Amino acid sequence: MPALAEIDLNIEQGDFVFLVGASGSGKSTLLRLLLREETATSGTVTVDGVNVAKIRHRDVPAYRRNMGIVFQDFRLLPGKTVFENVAFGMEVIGKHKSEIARKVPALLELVGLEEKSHRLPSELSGGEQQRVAMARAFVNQPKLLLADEPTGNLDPATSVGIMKLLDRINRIGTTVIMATHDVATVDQMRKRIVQMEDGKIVRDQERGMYGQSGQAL
Amino acid sequence: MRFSFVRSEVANGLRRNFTMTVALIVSVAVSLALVGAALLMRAQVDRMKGYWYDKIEVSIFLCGKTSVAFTCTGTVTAEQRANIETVLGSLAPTVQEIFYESSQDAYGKFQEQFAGSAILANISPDALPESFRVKLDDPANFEKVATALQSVQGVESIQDQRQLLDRFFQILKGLQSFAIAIAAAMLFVTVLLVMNTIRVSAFARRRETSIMRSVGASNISIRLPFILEAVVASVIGSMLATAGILATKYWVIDARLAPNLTFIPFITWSQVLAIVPVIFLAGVGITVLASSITLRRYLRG
Repeated sequence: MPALAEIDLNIEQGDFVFLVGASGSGKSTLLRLLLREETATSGTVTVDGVNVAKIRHRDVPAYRRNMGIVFQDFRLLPGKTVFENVAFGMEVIGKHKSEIARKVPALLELVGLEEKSHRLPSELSGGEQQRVAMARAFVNQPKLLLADEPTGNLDPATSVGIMKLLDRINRIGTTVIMATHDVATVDQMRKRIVQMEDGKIVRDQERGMYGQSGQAL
Repeated sequence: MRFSFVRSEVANGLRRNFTMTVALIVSVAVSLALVGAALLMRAQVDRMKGYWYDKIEVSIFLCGKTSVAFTCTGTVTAEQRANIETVLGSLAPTVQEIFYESSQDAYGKFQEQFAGSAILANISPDALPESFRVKLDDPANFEKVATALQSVQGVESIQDQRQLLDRFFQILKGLQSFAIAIAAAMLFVTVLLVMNTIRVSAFARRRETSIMRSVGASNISIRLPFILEAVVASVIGSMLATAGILATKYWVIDARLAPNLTFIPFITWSQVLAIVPVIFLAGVGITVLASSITLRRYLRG
């Protein structure tokens, strides 16, 4: 059985979309297709007018600089401070020291962590760690932000803060696609919902709720 | 990718992987030292061949009283001896020089060599055959001389000194093959060690590399720190191998062997220094190749 089948999905620039569904329903595969960690066996994936499957291997890194990604497990480097973790994302793509020194504080201000730039990840709460990860995902000012269960490891109160931050990032024009099965978060945001089941889209609804009335989950 | 960043990544990687790095350095050093030894052994054999082949002669022993060869009818006659000399003369330019050594001359040499030995009392001058000593333009032309002389009356036997030397060189060649075989095995081990080191290193840094990929770092900047780690280890290993070889030349060959074995021409410094770049190229080349192949497998973009 393929991970995804008969997917027909169109997301406009500036949209905020929740991908919901049980584990194994194909949410992550969809994100991986957008990241070009995988290519579709049939059909096409087009991002910003570009057929993703046609991107040459050596052009994949440049393509990925147009998008940011945050994960459930934050993926911070434990030996580096908050500042260094965000700076790492710029160093590895060859940014100049002066640009890093200018930009990292601005990014930390965006996520509300300017006071904690010299702390280590282990000294931060889960929500703060996810904010660091979001600052790092934003170093290239991407037009598209992919979030794979970003609130999966956080308590509800902290999740609200992360969602507010995602909303703010969305309001400045960034397309946000977030895979989740966090019911409370989805219901509170009232955004577009794409629900998946066994690799197929079973619902695509503007301003939706996680569980529709009468639908068991 | 900025230089200072790469440098600190490489330094971190080497520190984190310290025992593996040490193993890699030692393995590179030992295998390259063996490669160097094999190369130098060949140079040594070539040098000895050049030196000794130049000096070797063909000895044509003439019939004595007790000779039993079919070309002998008692002690060689003056006529036979003159005939042999004529035949030898006709073999120019293969035959370059001809020396005659009488039984008395041979006895004189024998006395010198065995001065003070009891064996002298049992040997009389006429027990040692008279001979022609012949120098050839090329030692490989021995067969020509042998063919021309083997059935000439008065010749008892023809001896090629090269055969004696070749037996010796055969032994050296065997040693050389042995060194090459061990070097090949060690290089193989080194390649496996490089692959394993890279694999462990890639696993230890999978979080870094996944972040690098997701922010769009180029493949080369993701792989370069790993490759440079292996290169740093192999350069250190190559330096150790070189130091070992230079130390052998200085302290063993020059200080011990050369003064005592004056009849052997030893390899020169320029021959030793000529293999240094070979060692470095082999060391770095093998590790870069092995690490690139491994990274292709473990760091899929």
